[in-house]
Amino acid sequence: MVWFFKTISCGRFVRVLVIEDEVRIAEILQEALNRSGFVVDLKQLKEVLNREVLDAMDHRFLNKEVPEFFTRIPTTENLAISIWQRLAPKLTTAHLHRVRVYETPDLFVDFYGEA
Amino acid sequence: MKAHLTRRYMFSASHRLHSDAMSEEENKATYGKCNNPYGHGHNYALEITVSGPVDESTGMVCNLTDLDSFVEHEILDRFHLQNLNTVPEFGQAVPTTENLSAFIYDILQRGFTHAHLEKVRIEETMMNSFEYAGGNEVRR
Repeated sequence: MVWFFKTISCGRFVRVLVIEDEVRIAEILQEALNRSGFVVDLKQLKEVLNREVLDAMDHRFLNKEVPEFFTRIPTTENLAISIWQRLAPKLTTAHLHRVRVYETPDLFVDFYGEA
Repeated sequence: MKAHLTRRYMFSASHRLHSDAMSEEENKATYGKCNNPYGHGHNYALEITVSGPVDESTGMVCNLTDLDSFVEHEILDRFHLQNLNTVPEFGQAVPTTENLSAFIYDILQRGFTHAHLEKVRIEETMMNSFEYAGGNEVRR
């Protein structure tokens, strides 16, 4: 298993309060080791993560700037789901196992892609 | 869609690991310095994981204030700044962190109805932690 962490910041409008969150995203990708000895090429993973998630969300006001949150409330649960939906179809060389979003150090949400 | 929510709480308590079923020598051999007659304290970190479908109207697995208030009244009020050996509900059980995890899991399983209980995890120190999921496999 490989853990890959990335930190982004975004303003959220939740329950009539604007709050600043440090959102930490962690993915675990598990797959049989390929020829290179990597589980996944981290450079490629980073590119996908940057393009699909960070460019869209880092330093953004989720309610106003990220399309899925125009209608859906940007709770940490929905943020984890949204990040999964953005990443899973684009990861071709490894299987996305989990997305974890930390809202604060003492509160986080895990999403495993379950219906 | 189903998501898992984990909340972390801190509490402090003391305990002495000692079993009446064993002799003094056996207790010393089993528990070592944790058998010190005057006990010792820990700053415990308790992590509770619940799961459930994300409600479409609220965007939440469960309302955090329901979980916080249940944990405060049913768990933290019972254990924070207490000597675990004298907490009546513990009875004769040795207050190891294994037993504490299972005990807290049972309190949640019985009383917290707003989401499905997945697991309880307790850090006794920075170097050791225990997880209990009621006999179910712990999800990674």
